[in-house]
Amino acid sequence: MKTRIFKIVLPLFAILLAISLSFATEAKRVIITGYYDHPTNGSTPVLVDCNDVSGSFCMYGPYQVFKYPNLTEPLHKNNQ
Amino acid sequence: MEGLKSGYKILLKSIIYLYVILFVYTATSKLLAFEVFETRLFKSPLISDYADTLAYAIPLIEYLITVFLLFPKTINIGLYASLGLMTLFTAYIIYILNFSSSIPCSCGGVLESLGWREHLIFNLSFIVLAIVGILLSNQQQSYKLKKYTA
Repeated sequence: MKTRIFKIVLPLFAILLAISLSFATEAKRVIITGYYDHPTNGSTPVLVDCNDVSGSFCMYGPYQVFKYPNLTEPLHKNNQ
Repeated sequence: MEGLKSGYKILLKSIIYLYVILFVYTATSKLLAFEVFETRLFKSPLISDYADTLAYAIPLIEYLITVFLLFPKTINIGLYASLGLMTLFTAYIIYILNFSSSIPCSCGGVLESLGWREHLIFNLSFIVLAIVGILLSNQQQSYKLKKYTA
């Protein structure tokens, strides 16, 4: 019985755990933290539905949103 | 797993399962966000020419290594392949660190939130684990060989 657990159940559990974790993290990845240049506060964090790959520029109101606090690498809107 | 002390057996099993979880997790994450993964590969200066092929090959290799790790007869091949793949990923990270740290990571899943330096430490830890796994697995095999030839 113990051997059966080690040979079948444990590998299956590891695979299922990994697959569920990947689905869970992919579902969460839509909203990310970006940074925009606030006229008085400077670099300000904001949660946006954007990515760093492709699409039109990610905007927060009139401000363009960037990936890093030093306002480098512009973010792009997620296609819905 | 006959031939190793129980503590070492548990350690070898733990290393194998850590690699199984890592490879299945990252490969599935890459396939779930395939477009993002492929585009990031195209953005990379070193591998952009092979991005098309690599986008399919990397998850496939990760799944294949997982299969090797899950069967007792192919554990050794799986561990050597894991070491090889992790070494390649680490070499790529070292290149990126010297080239530009603003290039997005195409690692898959939550690992993308790690910085390049954290990622380097993460990969080096897994390389050490693979080496320990190979040593334990070899010890295991030489014990079996002695047993059958004695």
